[in-house]
Amino acid sequence: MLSITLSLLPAGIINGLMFGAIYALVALGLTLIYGVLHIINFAHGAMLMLALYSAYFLFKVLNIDPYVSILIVTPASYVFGYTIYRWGIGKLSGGRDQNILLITLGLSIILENSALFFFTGDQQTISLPYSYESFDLGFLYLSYPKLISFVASLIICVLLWMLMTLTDLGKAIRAVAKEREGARLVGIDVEHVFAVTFGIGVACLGAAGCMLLPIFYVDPYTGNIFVIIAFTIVVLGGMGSIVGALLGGFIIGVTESVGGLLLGESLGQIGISLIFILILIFKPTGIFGSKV
Amino acid sequence: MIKINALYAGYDLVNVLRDVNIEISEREIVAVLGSNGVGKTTLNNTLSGLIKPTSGEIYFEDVLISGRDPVEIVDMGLIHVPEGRKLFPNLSVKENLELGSYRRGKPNRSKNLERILEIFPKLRDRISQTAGTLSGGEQQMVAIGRGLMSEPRILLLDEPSLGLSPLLVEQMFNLIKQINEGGLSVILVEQNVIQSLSIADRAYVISEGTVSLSGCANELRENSDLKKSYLGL
Repeated sequence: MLSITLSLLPAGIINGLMFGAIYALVALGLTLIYGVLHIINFAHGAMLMLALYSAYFLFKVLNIDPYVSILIVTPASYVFGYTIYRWGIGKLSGGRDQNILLITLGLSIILENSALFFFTGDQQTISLPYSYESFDLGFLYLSYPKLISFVASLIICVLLWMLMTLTDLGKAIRAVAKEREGARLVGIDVEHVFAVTFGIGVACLGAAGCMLLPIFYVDPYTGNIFVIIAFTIVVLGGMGSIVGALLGGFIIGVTESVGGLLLGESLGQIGISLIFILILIFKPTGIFGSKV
Repeated sequence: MIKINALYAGYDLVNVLRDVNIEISEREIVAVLGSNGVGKTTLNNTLSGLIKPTSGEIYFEDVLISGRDPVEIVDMGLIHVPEGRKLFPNLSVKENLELGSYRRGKPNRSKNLERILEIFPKLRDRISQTAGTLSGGEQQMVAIGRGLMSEPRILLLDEPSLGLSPLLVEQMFNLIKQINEGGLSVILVEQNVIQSLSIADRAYVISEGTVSLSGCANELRENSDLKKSYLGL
């Protein structure tokens, strides 16, 4: 029995890394918004759910492959995020953080219940022609959807890292995260930078939604499953850290997968909570502190 | 160059500044002096657009700038180097300086950066260090450097000597003089009355939110009221 489990261990780890990459994307959006705007976006799960439904309907109605939809849903999510911050959250909150929290919470309730009303509570899945085709690594078969998701997530993380370190916009985002008044004085439009950051955070969800659809299901509450995991990742990796989100995503993905292998699907989740508690006790700032 | 006309400004309906009138000409160093809490920083924040005045006007070369956004004011060339530096502590010295030219774009960036590193050679060794790890004096250099990266026409320096050792204070004032001689107008807001008057052309003394005394720096140095209130003589 034990030897069978051990022989499955490499497969479990690889499988965890695949899922971890998508977790990382969801966490990346959360950590970026937290790191710069210093608020928790309570509508994060609802926005992920919207992305999943967008990819779902693009597939059902227009027959667009979800991986191709990444190119549509990601920019659309950015525009949605930017707009909703610039002319919604930013304006309504009057610049007070506690108002932003309430507004994002309210937004999540509206989005989830609208989804429930229009799309019903049924779980929807899609099946791609290549869903069950896989790539033989010798010791395991790697399904194409998971492999594509993994590579695409890594590419997005690298692109985001390049944006943040190499461009003026990225530097401005990092500057605003720590010193808003100083940023205003060099002529950075802080409200614009907030909206851009919020947009990028939501765009991460857009990409994540497209990648999740082929390997998961969608209903009005799907998003929340991932956001709870994403919170753990953000705390683990360090609030506001991009590298932390990526690493945290992998750690949590592998923990969940290997935990499931050793202890069974439901008991395996215990590993995630355990990591969360240990991090809070021994390194509350997370692996990478509070760097953006 | 700058004309401040009957300015009232403050926070949450309380006017800190009352009926302030100040003028600054091209290539001048004008000192704005006063002790803590008289409204010097409010004046600066109003000039750079961080707060909107209750009433009164500020003109920058006959263009009304009071009530405009900081972005527009930066674009026009009025650059505020704030008290407490307000650097980006998580960014490197180089990135801090680069963001100084955020509105100017990349054309002159490397040239200006080189010029600033010539003014502050010490920053060359610190260039990739994060700004939060620098000493107070070095941070002040980065703050002024970041202001200069914006290609200002007038530089608004808020308490540049605050928190510096006496030796550095001396150097800082020499440097301000040097920058001014390069063709830049400077508004120097300071508590350090003696040093400020030694490099300024003219000065305004603010007390209780309004200009109580003004004139040439030379005359003010001999003024008995000023001596009494600030120097204890």
